[in-house]
Amino acid sequence: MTRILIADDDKNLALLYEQELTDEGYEVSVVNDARSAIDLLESDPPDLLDLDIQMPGMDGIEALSHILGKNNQLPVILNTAYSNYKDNFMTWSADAYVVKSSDLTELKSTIADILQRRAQG
Amino acid sequence: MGTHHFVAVPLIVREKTIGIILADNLYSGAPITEDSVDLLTTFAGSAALALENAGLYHEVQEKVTQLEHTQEELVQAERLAVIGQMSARIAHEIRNPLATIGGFARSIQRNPDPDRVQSAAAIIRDEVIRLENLLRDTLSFTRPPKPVLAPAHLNTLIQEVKTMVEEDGASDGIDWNIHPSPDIPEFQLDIAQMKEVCLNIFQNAVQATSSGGSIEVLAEYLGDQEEPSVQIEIRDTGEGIREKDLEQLFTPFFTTKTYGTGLGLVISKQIVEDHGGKIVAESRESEGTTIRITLPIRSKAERS
Repeated sequence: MTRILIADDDKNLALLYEQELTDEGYEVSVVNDARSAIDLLESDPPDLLDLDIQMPGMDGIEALSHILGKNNQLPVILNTAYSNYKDNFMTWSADAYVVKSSDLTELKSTIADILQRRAQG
Repeated sequence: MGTHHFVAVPLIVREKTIGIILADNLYSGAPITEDSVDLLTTFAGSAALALENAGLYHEVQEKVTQLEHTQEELVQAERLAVIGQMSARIAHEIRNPLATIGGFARSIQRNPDPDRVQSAAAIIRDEVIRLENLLRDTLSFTRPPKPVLAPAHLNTLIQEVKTMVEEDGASDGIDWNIHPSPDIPEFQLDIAQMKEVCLNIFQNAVQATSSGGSIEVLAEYLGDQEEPSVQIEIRDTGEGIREKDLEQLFTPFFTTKTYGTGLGLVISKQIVEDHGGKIVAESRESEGTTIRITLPIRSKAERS
């Protein structure tokens, strides 16, 4: 089963993602800060990471550089409340940038696209 | 020129001729003496300096105007930057709960499983409360009411707020050390507002401090100073604040907390300043934070 890791400090939003993506047939884990995401990626790497940018402590962009420094094969989606981080060139190294919305269609289709592209190699 | 005499004296400033004074004896008819020429030369020296000064003054005026203009532009740019930061933070504070509310509503519409509906409804309710709190804080930030002063005992107020925080249960496992000072006189405060300030800072301290840590509250009367005041220090042994975050501590909508509005300390600062006081923060990462409030003790007459 394809495994997705959600890193978002907003617990209720993370729960929504967990439910919705589980319904889509993924195996979903959730962490609420960047540090835990980095730890989990080492001990138990998922197939895709959905990363929030604004989190207390280490933010998603800082986490992204740590993560890609260790494993540049991991597909990462940056999922954030506003689009102005798109100007930060560090965000270009993520596979996709999805602005948070109550409609998860874009997030779901982006996840499916990335996984399909990776599968085709 | 006929029988008239005339004399020409140059106007010289810093070895440069900037003009000339011509004088004749048309009206007096008397010959122009050496003394008169000397007098005119002295006058020309002063006149040249005065002209030069007038020119310089004009230049300075222009520079001042330019500087004022540049400063206005800078202030405007700063204001725009603050508005930009504020809208980014508001966007973040609103978009997360909206995405959660809408997302769960869509989810239960598609799959109205009773258990899911129950848990989704609870989350939607909580997120709406979060938005309502954000709105309330934003409104009270933009419209802080004027303090309504009444004589108050600060030690009692601190004790009451501590009890409020304890009843909440969030501070279980944290060691409270309250050091009231017996010599603090009764003085003029807006009790409700000052409670809000203390509640805010105590809650921040609790949220930053993990179980086993401690929160110390010291109240001290500084009566021997020119302006008698009271100092309250709230020290926690919590996670501390990063240096780059410390600079922004009193900036509207700045928060390091998931459920923070970034307005608590802004409102607290406003209230303390409305009381003629000051609030400062000191912090070391992973060692703790100290918030220090100084409130002047003034008679009612002085305040009004």
